[in-house]
Amino acid sequence: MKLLPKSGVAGFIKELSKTREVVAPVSDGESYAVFKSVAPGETPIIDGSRFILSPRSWFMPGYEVLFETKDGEIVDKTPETKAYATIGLYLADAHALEVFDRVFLDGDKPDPYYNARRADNAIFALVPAKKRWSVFWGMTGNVCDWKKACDVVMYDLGSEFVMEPMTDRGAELTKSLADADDSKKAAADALLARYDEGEVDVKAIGERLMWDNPKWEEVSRKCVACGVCTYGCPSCSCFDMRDDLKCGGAERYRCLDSCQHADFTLMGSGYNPRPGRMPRTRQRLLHKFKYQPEQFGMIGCVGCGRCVELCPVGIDIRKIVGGKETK
Amino acid sequence: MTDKLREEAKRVLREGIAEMVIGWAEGSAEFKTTPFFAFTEEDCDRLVWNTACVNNLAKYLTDYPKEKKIALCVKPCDSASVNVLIAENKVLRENIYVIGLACGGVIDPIKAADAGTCELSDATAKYACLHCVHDKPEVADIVLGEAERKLTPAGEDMPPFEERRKYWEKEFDKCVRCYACRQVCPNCYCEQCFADRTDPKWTSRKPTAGESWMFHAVRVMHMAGRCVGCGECERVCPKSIPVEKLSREMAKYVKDIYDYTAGMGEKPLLGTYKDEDYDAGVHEE
Repeated sequence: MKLLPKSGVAGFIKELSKTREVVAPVSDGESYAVFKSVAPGETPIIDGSRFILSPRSWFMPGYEVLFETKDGEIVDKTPETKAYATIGLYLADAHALEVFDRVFLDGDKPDPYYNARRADNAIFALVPAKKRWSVFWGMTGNVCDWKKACDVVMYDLGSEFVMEPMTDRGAELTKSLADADDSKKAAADALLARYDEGEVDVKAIGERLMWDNPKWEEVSRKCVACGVCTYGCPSCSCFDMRDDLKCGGAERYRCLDSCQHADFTLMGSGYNPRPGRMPRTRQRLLHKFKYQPEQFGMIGCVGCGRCVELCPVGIDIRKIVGGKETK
Repeated sequence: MTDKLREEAKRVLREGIAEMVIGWAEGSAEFKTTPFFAFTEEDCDRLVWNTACVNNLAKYLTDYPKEKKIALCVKPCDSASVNVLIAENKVLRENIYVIGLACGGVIDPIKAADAGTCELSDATAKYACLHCVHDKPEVADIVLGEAERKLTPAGEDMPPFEERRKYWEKEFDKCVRCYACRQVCPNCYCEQCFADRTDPKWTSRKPTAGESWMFHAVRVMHMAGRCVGCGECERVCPKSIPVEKLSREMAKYVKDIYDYTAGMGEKPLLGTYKDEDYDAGVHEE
């Protein structure tokens, strides 16, 4: 394990940016922090002082042109693979990338757009010093296992970060830092243990979240179908593809979509299999806690708590999954 | 205060004034409450009233048929939303029992979590509360409590005219077109929003600054004389775009030109047409 004092973060990022494009949460002062390429002189927010939106917006942008047509010819818009380093995403977000990998990279047709940003991306995942009230990592998986999804795990100990390299690439990128002594290592482990609270029993959750549970009606009554839960989620991967005319041709682009919207399942015939808010709320929960465990062997929710904080009507996924509202 | 509210809610259900009471209940954290639907007197014991009661519950009125008898807890700004719905004939006054609550401002749960306190102050207040124009509930069958306003009113926050294009281009560039601002608005009740229409296609789903500009501009036009400034749209925005600034600017024009404040009149703005009204661009000499 290595040590990185907080005063040395700017220098570390500067050093890193010589070989890799650094992506980290930054804020313009008024809004929540968002992941983007860090411009020289910009200070990323990795001290937990501000609400950080999920890194999904960088790995899967809200607007991405897949190809264009120009004078009858198709112009490919697949981005070039570059070397990136993503710093300051939560450990849970790093695990969410594993869910994304199942969706976008498994099978015989991996998604080249996502892969271009994922293939050579050193992940520096953060374990924040202050556990926000909404966080429930431990309820959705074995937090210690998630470390495998990272190149380096950064434990925030207040005045410094303990950096634990998990891969050769991670070790290479942190080799210039000083070594951490045993007391720091113990502090780092203790910090992670605080996040590993809660039980994971996929089978019990599955039984509680029965399709025909009468409680769904009650759970979804206050939902306003705004979809903020899905837009804020680091592991929601649904998108829409649309075509638009533009000067001299057309473009096909990908944009975000949400299962909470009425037109998500609306068919050309006018029939909508999920006509109300109840089936849509149920879909979000079942997809993450029932269908994805069946498909991928892992829960689709990573417990980052963003939906809990962002939900304007205070729907708390923990209470639904934990059984307080569905039993 | 919470006790008085519970008593009143119980009375309303007991005497059959309404079939259900829509209010707030305790949420997952001290700075978070959640909308709550009470059907029995027992349920009423879960109702609360505090500075974390941020939701504008008038949103739920249009979920139910007009004939249903509903009791609704409102803050002064929410009450103005109810008044807009009444003026536009979306709800019937006689079927709605309005429990007004005196309010000195509410907190924004995310700001409060960042600050680590749920004490109401200028830093933790919902931004719209710093621009509040509602002293008392406009429509209410009963008003509970008294409140003192301690927040410092915010001044003009629209950038100067010359800088606006640049400012809003930057803001709208963030928009992901989730339409949460529309969904949470009590007075956005169209069955199909123009933004969801594919034929004709008014605006593309593409979340570029230009297309998002179209959506927000049309929304603010549709809300002219209807937006009461509760600020829910701004609060829910997952990208923290200050959309309420546009509506506030619009409200100023409506006040200047037609001397009308949304939620204060018996008729909607368009229903107050007079021949001598100012109509720039139509009959300009």
